[in-house]
Amino acid sequence: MEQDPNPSSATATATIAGPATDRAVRRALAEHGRLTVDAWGVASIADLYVLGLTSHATVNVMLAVESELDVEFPDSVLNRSTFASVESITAAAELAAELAS
Amino acid sequence: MHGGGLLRTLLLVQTIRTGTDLAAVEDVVDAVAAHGERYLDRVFTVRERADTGDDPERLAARFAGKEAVVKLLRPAPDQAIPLRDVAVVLDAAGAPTVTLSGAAAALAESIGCGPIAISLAHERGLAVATAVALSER
Repeated sequence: MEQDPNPSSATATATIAGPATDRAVRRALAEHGRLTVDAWGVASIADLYVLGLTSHATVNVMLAVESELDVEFPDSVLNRSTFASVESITAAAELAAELAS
Repeated sequence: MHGGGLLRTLLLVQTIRTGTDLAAVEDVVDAVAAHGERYLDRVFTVRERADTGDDPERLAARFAGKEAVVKLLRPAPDQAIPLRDVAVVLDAAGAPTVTLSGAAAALAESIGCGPIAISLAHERGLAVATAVALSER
C-alpha cells in the first residue's frame, strides 16, 4: 500500500483547503482506487480511468472521500467527468463542502 | 426535421442499444466492509436490497446491471446518473427487470427509449449483466 508522504497531516476540519482535500482524495484513491500507479504521485489531471479506476472503485473512492471530509457529493456531480482525475474529484469534494457549510 | 429524420419517423426505424458490465464480488464485499450501510443505501434501492438479501454476489450482479443500463443510455461525461436512479428488481416471475427514476428516466425519455431488457449472471466471484433496448435515437 502506498504511503501518505505527509503522515502527520490531520483529517480535514470544517474549513477544507485545497491541499487537505487533495490529500483526502489521494488517500481514497490509494486505498480504494486500485490504480496501476501510485495515487500519491499521479498527476492531478491524469486520466484515472486509463490508470485502472473502475466503476465500482469510483463508488468506494467517493464514499471514502465523503467519510474523511464529512461531506456528501451532491447528485449533480455523480458523473463520469467528476471522477476522471484527482483535480476533478477534489473540485467536487470542495463543492460538496461549500454546500454543507 | 430533416429528410433523414422524417424518413426514420415514417418508417418507425429504431436504434438498438446495448450495455454490458462486469463486476467483481470482492469489490462489493470490500465496500460493505469499508462503508457498510452508507454504501448499501447509496448504491442500492430498498427493493434491490430486499430481493438480494444483501448477498454480495447478487448485489454485484445488480451493480453490473446498473452500469450496463447506464452504458445503454450513454449519458454525456458530465451528465449525472445516480446509481439508485437505475433499479434492477425482480418481477413476479422472479426475473430481473429495470426500473428507472430521476435522471435516468429523464435521459431514457429524451432518447425515446423503450423497455429495457436485462440479463444477469454471477459465478465464482464475478457478476455480469447485459441490457438491451430499442430507442428512437
